[in-house]
Amino acid sequence: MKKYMAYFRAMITSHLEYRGALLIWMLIELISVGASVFIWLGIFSSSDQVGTFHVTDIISYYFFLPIIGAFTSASVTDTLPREIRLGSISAEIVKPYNFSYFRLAHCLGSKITQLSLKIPVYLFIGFFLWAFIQAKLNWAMLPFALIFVCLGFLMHFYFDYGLSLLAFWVEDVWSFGLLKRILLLVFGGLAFPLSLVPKSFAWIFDVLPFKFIYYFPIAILQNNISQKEILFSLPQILFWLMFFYIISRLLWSKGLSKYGAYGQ
Amino acid sequence: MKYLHLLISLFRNNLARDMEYRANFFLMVISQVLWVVVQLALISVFFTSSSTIHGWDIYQLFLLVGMYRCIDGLFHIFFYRNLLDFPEIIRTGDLDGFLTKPAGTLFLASTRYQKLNEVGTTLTGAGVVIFSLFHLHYQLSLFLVGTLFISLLAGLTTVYSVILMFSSLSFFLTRMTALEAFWDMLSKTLRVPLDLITQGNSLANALLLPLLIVVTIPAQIITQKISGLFIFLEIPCALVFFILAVRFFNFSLRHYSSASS
Repeated sequence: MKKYMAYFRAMITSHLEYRGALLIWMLIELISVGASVFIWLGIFSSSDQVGTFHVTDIISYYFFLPIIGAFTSASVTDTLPREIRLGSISAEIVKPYNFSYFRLAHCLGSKITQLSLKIPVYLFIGFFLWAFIQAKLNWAMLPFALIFVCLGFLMHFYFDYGLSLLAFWVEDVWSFGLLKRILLLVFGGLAFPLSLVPKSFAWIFDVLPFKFIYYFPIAILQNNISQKEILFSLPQILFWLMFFYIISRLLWSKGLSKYGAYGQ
Repeated sequence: MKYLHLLISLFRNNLARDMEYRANFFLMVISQVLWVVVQLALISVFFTSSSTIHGWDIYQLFLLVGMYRCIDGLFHIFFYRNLLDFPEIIRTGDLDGFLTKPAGTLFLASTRYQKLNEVGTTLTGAGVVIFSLFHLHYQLSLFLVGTLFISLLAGLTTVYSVILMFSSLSFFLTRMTALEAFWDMLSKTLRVPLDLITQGNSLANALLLPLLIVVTIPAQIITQKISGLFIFLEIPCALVFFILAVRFFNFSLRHYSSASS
């Protein structure tokens, strides 16, 4: 554990070194959330309701979306496939630690620095949108949402990690990254709240694991999910977490036997 | 002429490289088609209880999304990857290779790689534009084709200029990692009618002009929400943004000191 903590701390220090870039990140986050809110306020300017959605539902959903995303996002596919292809993971695999835990520490280190920047921005925006957020937020559901955020992040991480390991076999996994993005946009709730999906298709969205990355924790916070549903969903997310963990371990051991130090 | 030959050579080179990974190429095209279906479905959901949103009906909004996708696709094919690579080639000193070649640095650095598998985005965009125009009962006319062509060119130039300006900041910041996030934010904003944000406020219109001329104003011209004369605003505006972006790039380039930059 000590070695992963050391790496985790090193990642935080490394990110904090580039303050100018971090300031730009903060500004982009502020403009991004602000633009989303302005667009939705514009859509609702003529009427309080669009479809079955009330203005408070949508504004609070799109306010929570980047916050939950900041916690549950994983971006292993951004770097690991390239490292495998170029052979630069050779220096890491000879070291006495578990490679997936090492990447997890890497991911958490970047996340902590990003969160330290993003949280003040969200608080600032939240101050102005408090009327919309308060109308939907149920503080009693916060502990449940936190559990699903942690599990959602781990599940997303192992899904992303497993996808990156395909680089042992496939020359360019960039298109898999895009496919993942589309899956999250559609089935994760990134593009629209999944409660908008017609009932005849809803089961597909329910069975797949992607709803746990964005939609489900937000729906808990918005008090749209009953405690019974939450308890029923817990074994489901644990199953998917184990599934992606086992698959990524298998891919790692099979991929490593195929890997040459020069790359694939 | 030299640059056209160079561009054609680069195009051939990139096409050969993309065709090496055919599965990837087709996966990308399928993903792009899927994505446009999702976008249109989402728009349709919001029109279930109302026939217009802020004066835009469903097919007018489809037209705007289609026009945006055409520009987005062309930008991805020709420039996106190159501009996204800017921070890295500046940080590692790889820009030296472009500076020493007998062609414009900006031209080479902006067009070296082309992502031809993004052709699906442009084609689906064109499909959505044709579908919307058909439902809006438009007849093919010189004005319509001219407006679409000018809008496409002006929109592409403006998007390129905005991203170029932002990526030029890499000459001053050691680790410019936010470029992709900036593009995501811009892309998310451009594919909606921006008069939703400006609400007719002249200060907001002035501040958001570079974004308004990409898709919102052209779509408003075609759907006759504003006078057709606004098309003459598109070209000079796009040119001004382009000149500003190139000047800022050249100014920033003076701060480049190879790998230690």
